[in-house]
Amino acid sequence: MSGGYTVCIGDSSVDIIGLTDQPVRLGDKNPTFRLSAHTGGAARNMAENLCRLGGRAKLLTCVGDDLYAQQILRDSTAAGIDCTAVRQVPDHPSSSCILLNGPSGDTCVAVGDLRICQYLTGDYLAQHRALLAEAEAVMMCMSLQPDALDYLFDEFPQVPKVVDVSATEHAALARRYLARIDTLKVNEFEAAALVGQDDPKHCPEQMLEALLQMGPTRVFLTMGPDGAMAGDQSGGRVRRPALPLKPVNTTGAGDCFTAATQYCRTQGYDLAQTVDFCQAAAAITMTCEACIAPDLTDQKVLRWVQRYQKGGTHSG
Amino acid sequence: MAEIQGGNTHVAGRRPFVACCGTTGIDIAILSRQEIKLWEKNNDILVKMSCGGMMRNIAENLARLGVSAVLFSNVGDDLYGQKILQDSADAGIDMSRVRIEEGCTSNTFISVDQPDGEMLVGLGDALCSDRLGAAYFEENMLLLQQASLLVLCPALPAECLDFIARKLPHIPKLLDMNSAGLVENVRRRMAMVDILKVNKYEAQELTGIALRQQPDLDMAAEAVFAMGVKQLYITLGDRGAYYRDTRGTRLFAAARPDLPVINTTGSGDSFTAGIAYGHMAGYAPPQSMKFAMACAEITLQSADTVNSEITLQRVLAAVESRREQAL
Repeated sequence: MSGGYTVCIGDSSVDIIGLTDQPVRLGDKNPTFRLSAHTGGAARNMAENLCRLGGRAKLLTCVGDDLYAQQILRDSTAAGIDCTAVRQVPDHPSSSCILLNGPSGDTCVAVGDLRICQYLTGDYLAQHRALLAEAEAVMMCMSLQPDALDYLFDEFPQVPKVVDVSATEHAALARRYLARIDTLKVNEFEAAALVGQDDPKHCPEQMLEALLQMGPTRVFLTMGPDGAMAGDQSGGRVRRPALPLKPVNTTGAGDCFTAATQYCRTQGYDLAQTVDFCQAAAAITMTCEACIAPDLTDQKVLRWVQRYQKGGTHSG
Repeated sequence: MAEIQGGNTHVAGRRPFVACCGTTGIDIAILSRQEIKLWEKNNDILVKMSCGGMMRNIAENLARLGVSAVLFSNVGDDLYGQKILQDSADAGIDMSRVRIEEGCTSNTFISVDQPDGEMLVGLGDALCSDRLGAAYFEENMLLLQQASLLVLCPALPAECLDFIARKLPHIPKLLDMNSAGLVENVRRRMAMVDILKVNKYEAQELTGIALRQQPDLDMAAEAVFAMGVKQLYITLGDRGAYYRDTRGTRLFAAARPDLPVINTTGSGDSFTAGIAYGHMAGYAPPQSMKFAMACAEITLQSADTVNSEITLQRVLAAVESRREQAL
């Protein structure tokens, strides 16, 4: 990549994951949990994946001035993300999410403190106008404040927007910008919410066409065990089955898929090459315990693409 | 009490100190304005982080009361560990003996609370304190031998408790049971305990006696004395606290009905610190009981597990304003 960079905008957090093999007693103390803290957040994860693939990422996000802010900045910088424009909010906690799982899914508690996202404002982005204007692309999730979204889409029409909707509750907000999005990445639940379809298992080809009619230049639709699809405004259509692998942890695979689309764009890949590359990258993420594969590189992804093409596991 | 004031921490000519041996960790409280639902994303919550670990809390209360408290414990080599070392030293605890465990996450306790204050679920990861072994206490034996009182926690690995019992037989030992789930760890080790502090549930688990009325308390006390304990405190929540010893002293302290309670977490730790204070000050049982009750009451009035505004003056003022009655 010739000096170009991608600006990643959205949330960053520390995610605490708790697992136990003992039955969970509600209303009581359960001392047998194993807790681990991971540096996460959709936009930050996308930035880290892009860096691991060999791209350059500059992160616009908000952190507090607490322990978790130190962890987010330390780990992100170590992963190669440029964090110099990150906004630190005094006297405020950073985002954190806590996900607790009992054995074989008998209990699940998921909570998040995302109050710091209110500082992802248009004013903050305006302080980094030059950074945004010269970016190869902006890669983002929808956790920005509405005025920040307006600022991005109104002021930088020439900068391609790569958008991961990343949550069904953000679908309504995302719909307003669809016509100005370059690359839209959704899973089947977000796709259904965007097109107003109740059933996420509804014919994916129809959902893809409906999304393309709403204006994005390219649409990537991931469907978990049912594989992935992509389409663009010049008539390209690709559908692939899922790679024949048993997932270990699916969290973070979507962020990796989106980051990979941006890597492929900078490499000039066509739509089919892009889907193959992104699926392999997401599969590497899904088959490791962490939410970001520590050994992810573009070379490793290309080896996986070759391996599964030789295996003849996709329809071409 | 003049002899336990001051701030000297040199080993040579060191002023009397309490050796607090046990768990240290970080507490994460999840607070919500809306009911937290299982299986759903709950994004409207607050996360509050503070230093915790029952033994660290006891040491912090003691330090704030002006007692020299040395913590014998460990933390992970993570950011939580750094925060614990920093904040605890700032609070006045002697952290010089706390070991940093490589490649280990600090003990963590998460409580998920509903808006009405009820705990939906609490969970802990205590792998770090499981790494404390007898060798750690052996390394610190020179200092431990000089302690005026050992405060122990049943979450310590059994080999640590056995080592302490064997090597430090002459130093008085105060055990805070901390959780009914920990009773089995220490049931066969009660002979090493001089002073035991339990709540109602822990007392029931330990003795098998249902504590429904006052004669049950005396029966439980006899059962505990048969195990080798010499002094027993049972905290009874909003009913107050009970004391009995092998010399026949029996006390009951009623809870103050007018007390505004903000958060009950940590009040037991503070009560235990109050007992330890009484021991260091040479208090008779009635004085110790009043002092421990006042410590607990001051903690109940704080949102935090340790009330950072607890001072000796404040506890003594609270002691003045309450009276205890013998049964």
